[in-house]
Amino acid sequence: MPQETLFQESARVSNRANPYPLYAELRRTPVSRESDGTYVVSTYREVSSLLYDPRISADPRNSADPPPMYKNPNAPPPEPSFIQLDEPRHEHMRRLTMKHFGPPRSPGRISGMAARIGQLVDKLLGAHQGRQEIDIVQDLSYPLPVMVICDLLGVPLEDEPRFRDWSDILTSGLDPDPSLQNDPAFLQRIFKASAEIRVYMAELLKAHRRTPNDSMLSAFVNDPEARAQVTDGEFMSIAILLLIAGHETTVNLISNGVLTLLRHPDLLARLRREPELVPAAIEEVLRYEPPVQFRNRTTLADVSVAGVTIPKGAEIILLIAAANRDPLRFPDADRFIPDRTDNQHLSFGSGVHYCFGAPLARVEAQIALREIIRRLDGPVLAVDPPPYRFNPALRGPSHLVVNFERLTD
Amino acid sequence: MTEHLDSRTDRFTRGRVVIVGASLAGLRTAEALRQEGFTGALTLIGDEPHLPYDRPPLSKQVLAGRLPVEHTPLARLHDLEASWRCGVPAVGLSLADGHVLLADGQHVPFDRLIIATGARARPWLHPAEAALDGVLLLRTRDDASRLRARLAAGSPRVLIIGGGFIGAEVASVCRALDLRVTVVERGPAPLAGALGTVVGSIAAAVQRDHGVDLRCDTTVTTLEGDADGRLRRVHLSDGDTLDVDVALVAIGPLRNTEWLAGSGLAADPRGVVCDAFCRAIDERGEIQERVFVAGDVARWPHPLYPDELLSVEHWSNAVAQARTVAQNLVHGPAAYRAHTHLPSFWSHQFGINIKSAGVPALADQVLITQGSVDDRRFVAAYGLGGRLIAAVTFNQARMLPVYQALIEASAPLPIDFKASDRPSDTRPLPAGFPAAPQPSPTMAAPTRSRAEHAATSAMAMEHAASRTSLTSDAG
Amino acid sequence: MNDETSAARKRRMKVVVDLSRCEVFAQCVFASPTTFVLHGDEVLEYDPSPDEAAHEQVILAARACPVQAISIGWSEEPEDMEARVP
Repeated sequence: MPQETLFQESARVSNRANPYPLYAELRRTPVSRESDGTYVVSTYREVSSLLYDPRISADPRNSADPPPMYKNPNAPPPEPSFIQLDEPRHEHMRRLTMKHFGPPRSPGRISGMAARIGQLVDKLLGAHQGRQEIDIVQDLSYPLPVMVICDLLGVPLEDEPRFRDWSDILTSGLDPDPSLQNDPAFLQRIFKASAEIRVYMAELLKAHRRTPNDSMLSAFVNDPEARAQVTDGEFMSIAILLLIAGHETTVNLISNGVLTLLRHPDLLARLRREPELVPAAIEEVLRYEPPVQFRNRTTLADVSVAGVTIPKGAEIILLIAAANRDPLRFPDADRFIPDRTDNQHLSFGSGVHYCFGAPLARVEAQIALREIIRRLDGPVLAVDPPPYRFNPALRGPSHLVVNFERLTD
Repeated sequence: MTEHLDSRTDRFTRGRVVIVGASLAGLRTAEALRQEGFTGALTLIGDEPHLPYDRPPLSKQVLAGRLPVEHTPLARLHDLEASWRCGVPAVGLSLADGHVLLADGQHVPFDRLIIATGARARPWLHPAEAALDGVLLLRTRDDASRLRARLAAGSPRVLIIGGGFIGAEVASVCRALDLRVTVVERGPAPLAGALGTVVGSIAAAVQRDHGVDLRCDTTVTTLEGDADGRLRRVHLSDGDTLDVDVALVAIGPLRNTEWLAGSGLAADPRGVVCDAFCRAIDERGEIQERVFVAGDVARWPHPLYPDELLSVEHWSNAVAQARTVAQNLVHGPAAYRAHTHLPSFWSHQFGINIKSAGVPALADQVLITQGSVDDRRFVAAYGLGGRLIAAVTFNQARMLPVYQALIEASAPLPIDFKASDRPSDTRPLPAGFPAAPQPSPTMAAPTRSRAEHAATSAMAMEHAASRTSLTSDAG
Repeated sequence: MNDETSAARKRRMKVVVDLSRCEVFAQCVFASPTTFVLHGDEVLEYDPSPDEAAHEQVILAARACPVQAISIGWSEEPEDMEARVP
């Protein structure tokens, strides 16, 4: 059994609450080769430049070791969604999807959801009237993005228990733990979830074709331009991506934000006095505790970075969470500074694959955090550190119990 | 820090600084001076009766009627506490007496001077034709208002003389307003002076796709007016005669340096020569420690283009050079920084975002490295002597940073990224820059003046000095 | 330092985008769709003097820019300079 590498150690469950000291060690070697041939990139300049680099592929079909759902010997691999495509197909698919989500064709769609998001937050918090305890994850930061993404996409909220399980299983495929990746039972679970969610989504898209409404998926699958260029398999993959990404990441952003502020009561008090600082504080939460800790890529050619030549065909891990704490880029990088002005973090990625849903995540987190700060009187963490979700790539608490004195209006 | 050092630093943070030129470079230099800790008296002199305003929108959304010209004044980003002399141009400079002479006869004394007088539009060569009602230039906000009024009133056909960026952007607006427009370009393709004929011919195809009547290798022989002095007709070198009532003269810039005649500074219509630290150089090749140059009017040496003095009309250079000048003026020689900003610009035309990094006009080769010319979405890489020196993107802005880094590293060309979107043919072609000196970002004089020689050799010396020690202020 | 504007003059929000730096991630358009507009895939235009009603959104837009290309400043009223020649 090869010795555990620093990166594997950082991804271990026991280090989930605080992987940052290990990331700091990783940064001493900006590009390090793991025993399995993977290259881990951990410094800001290098991660940033590789996020832009056209020699770096996001397409798992270029990888010698693709994610589990591509390894099913009994089923054809699913069509990649745009997050797993390279140019020019990536841009093409992304643009057709963006038509119904943002500019240039739908510029006001996301900002127009702010009022609705405010109502949902009000309802979720309001349920705690008269109580003195809330589990931020289960009671707010998980359900809110689920409700919002279901609303936006046109996915029935009552199906949430079903896709919650599929989503959990499918995102666990991002876990780099080799003992998991080689476990046949684990792979079978992923194959099964992948097949089931595709059947579910195929039915849903058919329903949207039969009975169109004003939801995003309905507009997308009925758009003649898209129908001429996107296969049904691709429609499914994109819809699944939006559904999963829409609620597996924002949950971490909101939870990490609340956790960080409760660990800094002076800053929490300041944000309560100066709510206009919340948007800046969200950016700092993104830098300081990124919801997505790392991304996987493959090289299409030899690439020289920081004196290391990564060979063609190599697997790369871009360790965004380490880059965001790089002291060469950010002064006081390990300090949480909510009004930090120079804050060009990499938590939504960069380059052509910049997070599609970032604007929605920002609006949800801004409203949720502003209201939590405003309405919870005397909040304190019940447990610190909280229990974490199993997944090291999508890192965030699984529960975040907060005691408070009362809920203000 | 010792008291001695403090008092020495004080020397640079005080006194009277006069900035001649109250546009982007002047304003941003003034702000940067305050930001860097300059506490002395600050005076800005500008020839226009307006607050500093932003020029890029003038040929785009202002002309298209999407943005009122009143919205173009530049954002103030830092408190200034400055006195302004706007609407009165500077007409002379005495370095010996340390004052600027204004057109109204006033003397404005200075301890240190910043020259940021920029450029103006080169007028039509025949004064009688230039005076016809309907013959217009586009540089200032008043120019933009006049042209906007003409376009809004409707026109049977708009004539644009010159197929550079201003000409192309105005042609784009005309087509968006559904006006008929003829572009007359004396070279083989539009934008060719800045981007070469390979990319220029793509720009030509874009223009024609959008219904522009583009005439390359063509010149205007006569602009003809009626008895009332109104423009009526244009005669072209291809033998054609067109009825037009609006003609935009877009044949490049002239640097505003006339006011420096007799000052002893190395100034001519190409700009004011300065060293890598943006200090002006005089005709004898001596550095003028008290005079700095910023923005479009500056001609400065750049380490990536060692045989040239660069002079560009780029928004980003004005902003960056403002910072360099302020840093050097406020912190003094011991902290001097060279102005190593990589030139970059953008243009919006016919729905395409064109971006450039480096200096394409110096290239001998060009190749399309990514994307599709047919889709108007590609990256063109420019090389000189087998090194990457510039890159231009059409609707591929997010690809440019990679190339910027490679240009700064003087990466070898051709580059093969094995990128998934590389075109089938990635062979380099001759970049295709017109042999005759067009109005272009750089102008290499056939014989180099003492000042030009001093500017480039000073850069080499200062670079050597910066590697050894910081003793230049020891005396 | 007392700026000449501090007491007497009314400050109005101004915004400026460094379009050389801009990579058209369009996050500003999402945040403030009345001030920032995308024409086609990559042509970003904006109103440098946004309406007061949009000011809050413009601040969000500046915060959201992935390449920090948006600066918020102010202008002075009146915008006429001759009056200020000493």
